Amino acid sequence: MLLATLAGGISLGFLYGLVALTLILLVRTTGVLNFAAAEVGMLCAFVAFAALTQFHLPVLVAVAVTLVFSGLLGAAVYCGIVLIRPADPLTLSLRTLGLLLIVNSVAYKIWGANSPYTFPRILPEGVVTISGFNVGYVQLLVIAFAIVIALAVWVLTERTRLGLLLRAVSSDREAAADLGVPVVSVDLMAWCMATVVACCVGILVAHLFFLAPDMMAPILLAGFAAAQLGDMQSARVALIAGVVLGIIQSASSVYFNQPELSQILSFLVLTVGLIIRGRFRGRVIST
Amino acid sequence: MTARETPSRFFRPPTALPVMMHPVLGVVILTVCLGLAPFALADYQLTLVATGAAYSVAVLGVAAGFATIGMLALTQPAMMLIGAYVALYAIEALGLSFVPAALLAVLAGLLVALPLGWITCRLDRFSFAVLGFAFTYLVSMLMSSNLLVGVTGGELGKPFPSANVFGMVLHDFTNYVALAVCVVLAYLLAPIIFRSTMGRFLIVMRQDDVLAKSVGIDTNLHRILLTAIVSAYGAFSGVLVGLASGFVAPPHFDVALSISLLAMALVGGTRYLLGAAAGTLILLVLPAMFNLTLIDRNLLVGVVLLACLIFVPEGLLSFDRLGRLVRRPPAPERTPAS
Amino acid sequence: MTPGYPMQRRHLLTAAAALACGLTLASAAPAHAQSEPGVTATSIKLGMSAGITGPIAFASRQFSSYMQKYFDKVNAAGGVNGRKIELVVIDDGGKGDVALQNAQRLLQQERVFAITTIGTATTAGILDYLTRQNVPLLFPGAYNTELVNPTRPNTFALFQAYEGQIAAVTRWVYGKKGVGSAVIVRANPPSFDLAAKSAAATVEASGGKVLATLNTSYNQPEWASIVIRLKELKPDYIIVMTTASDMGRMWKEIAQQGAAPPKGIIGISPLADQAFLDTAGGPVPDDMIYAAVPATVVPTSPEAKDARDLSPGETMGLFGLEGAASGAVIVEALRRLGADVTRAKLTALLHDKFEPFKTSFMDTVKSSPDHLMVQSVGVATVKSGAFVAATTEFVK
Repeated sequence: MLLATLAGGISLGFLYGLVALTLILLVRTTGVLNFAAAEVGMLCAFVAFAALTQFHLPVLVAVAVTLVFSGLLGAAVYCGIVLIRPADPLTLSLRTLGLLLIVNSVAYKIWGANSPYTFPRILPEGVVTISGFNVGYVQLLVIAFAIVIALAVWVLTERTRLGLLLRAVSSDREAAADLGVPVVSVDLMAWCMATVVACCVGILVAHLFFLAPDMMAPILLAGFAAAQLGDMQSARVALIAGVVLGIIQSASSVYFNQPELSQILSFLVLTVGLIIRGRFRGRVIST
Repeated sequence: MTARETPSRFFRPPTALPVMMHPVLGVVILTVCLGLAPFALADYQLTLVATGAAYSVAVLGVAAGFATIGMLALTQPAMMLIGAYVALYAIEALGLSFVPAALLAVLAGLLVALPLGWITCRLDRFSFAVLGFAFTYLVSMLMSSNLLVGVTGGELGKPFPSANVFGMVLHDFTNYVALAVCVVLAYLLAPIIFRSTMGRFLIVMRQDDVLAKSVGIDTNLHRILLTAIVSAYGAFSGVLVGLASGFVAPPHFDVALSISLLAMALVGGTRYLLGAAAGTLILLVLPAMFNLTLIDRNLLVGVVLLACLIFVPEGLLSFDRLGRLVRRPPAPERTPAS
Repeated sequence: MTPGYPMQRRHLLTAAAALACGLTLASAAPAHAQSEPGVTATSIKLGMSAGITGPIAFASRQFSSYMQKYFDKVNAAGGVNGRKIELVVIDDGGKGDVALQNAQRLLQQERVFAITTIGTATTAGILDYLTRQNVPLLFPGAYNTELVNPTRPNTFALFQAYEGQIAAVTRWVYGKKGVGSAVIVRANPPSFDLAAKSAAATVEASGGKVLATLNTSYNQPEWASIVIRLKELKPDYIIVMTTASDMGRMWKEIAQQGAAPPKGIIGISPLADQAFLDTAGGPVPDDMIYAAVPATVVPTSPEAKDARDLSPGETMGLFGLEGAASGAVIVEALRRLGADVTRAKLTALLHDKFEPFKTSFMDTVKSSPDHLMVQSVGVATVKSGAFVAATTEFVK
């Protein structure tokens, strides 16, 4: 039972970590905390759903259309929230709160009346047994995707010229602009990338759970917590934090049978983690 | 914690404060509006105004926190819930009258906020915000569960009991009068608190935290105090919401309400005392009066919040034209002697 | 505390003048004019607070829509004793405090005759207020124990509460499929306390054994931990009490882990909701699920055709059928009142004078001391991916 509990917790934890990565990607590149990242992912999942069930597009075409839509949505969000009147990261982050409410309301208005929906099975179904516990292919895909995204974020920001430009713009916009860095293009690329990642997360969650405007609710807060434990910078720490939170929730559910206790423990982990991280900030070079 | 020192004798706190401006005018307008409402509005509309006024006290706390050091007080719904249920328990089980019950509720909010403030005073803004979300979610969940069902009624909530003030049982119009008096008092107290020395220190901390420390301001202590005061406003607001609406249910005081309260504070603006009331009127009272569905109300909050943060970042009450009409001439700038 | 601000605030002279005018007008009014709120010579106005947006939007829309359609059908045939029934629906987003505001609006602004609602939280929000105002609360689409316990003079329920539902369906399933062990899986909010106790008592009384009670939360983030326990415990039955989408996700995890109980899964009415099948993530085996369907037949049954025909192009779910049922009983009650329609007469009729009434799509409705006017439930099961009736009988 212990190994099964760990397997279940790890699987859940990587999902939290994946949500965290959608936040970290944008914070690392633009300094903006996008509160609406998960809701945007949900909206993209609905677009994929419409493409598959209403317009009956082939799976690959529907996915491609959705990814293109998500990129365009990212561009539209950037133009509508940032470019229209640039501001400091805090104000931009608060604007995304407004975006969260707008996206959520629009999704409810269009699809809420008949939700929840079953997302079409576009990913392979099947399980792998680990110590008597069956892990679905989609759950393994979540783990793999989370690791790939974390690596990609690291490679992008540390090893590529684009990443260097992103960090330069994030660090000092005016100086970067003065030195000829195409600030708007770089920012736009960051927002589009972040939205595409959020889109993929949305489709995975719809596959794992179900499709509804509130489908992100069970995992959103833990995702934010994992991201914050990673200081909104470290993908690696965020993934580890997500896994820790997942194991705690799984284990407390199995062994203590009290959902309240699970939430209290998660809250304590978050609090202690933030305090410890705060004390060590500045002493450790972020990765 | 650093040893507390008296501020340097060379330090002069700013004289013109960009928060809680025109408090007297604000309180007068608020009092007149609340006083005239019973004669101008139908019964149901008056209930909405009373409920909105109650929520505006929580928004005032959020606005004060944001205006001073940019705090994102997302714990406010949790404090409202704590305040409402402490007052409910005090009236129902302990048989207290309204005033001591309300004071007990505020004290409970303070007691919960102090350790929370101590934990969070070292955190950056976004960490505090995420912790605030988590705390609100946790409190709402705990109050909905079996643990406190005798007090809270669980997820279905409980009617707020009739209260009495000085032996008079409150209902209908006397209820409204008591609520209006409480709201006006809360608004009166805010500028007194935030235009005190503590308030001025908070402004300095917002401008430059290191500078504030260097002149001897205990920034951690002031952050803790601010958290406590904002939370006290939240707890008091919870009591008033129970009184106004007659019902308290934990699921309503959730993360979504955190965002709504912050939105009301930002939309109304934090420069003027009445900003909180204005934001609550625009985003809570008027949509209910016009019978918008809840989804449309959420959409309205999102659109108005986004539009304000883009076009009027200091809030709707900070239109330049309006500001010029009522603002005193700015203090002359101090330029270094050439 | 009674929210609402009646005339006391008006100036004394204004009140006196109004009284004088009122007396003059009253003396000029026809002798048989109705003074009852919401009732005129040609219409009866009812109010509903429903979460037509928000987390229970589908259920609320169907409940209100089918009730409206039932009233439309009756109005097209001439109404009730010459009066048309008008239904005013206001959105509450599934929230109890907003439902209370809506109830105040319906009474103070819309001046309705009686009120109904849908949803456990929304019903809880308005229960006390309507009792204090002495306004009839008629057959809400809700399963709150508080609707009938304690009995309120103004409140009448049609649908058995969760504890009654689970006892009835568990007893039936144990009778049909045999005695066995059970694990109870319940959402932790106190709403399910009585239901969990009732389920345990029924299992024990039927000769079975409760191996454990597993607690979950609403929107449970993961079901793997629950299913891990289920695999360890190996019950014959799983008795489940939570939301439809949570039950769907639970089934999905059970199917993935190969932990299906040999005899079946028994549940309260949300298990009979289409949302369960939509979130189950795959096919549900035949004769695995047994869900209580309070008061009515299963929506897909031939007996429910009259209700389905109210909206031919739409798929009627459980709550749509409940809306039609509530509407039917309301119409019958108003019909039996005759020309003189008052709140007091309505509550007196429903309290102990409502003779048995039956339609094709629900069990017999009659007065009852606890004001629960249908005590029985139907039983739904899943066959070929859709809900069907497991039995044509109503069980208690």
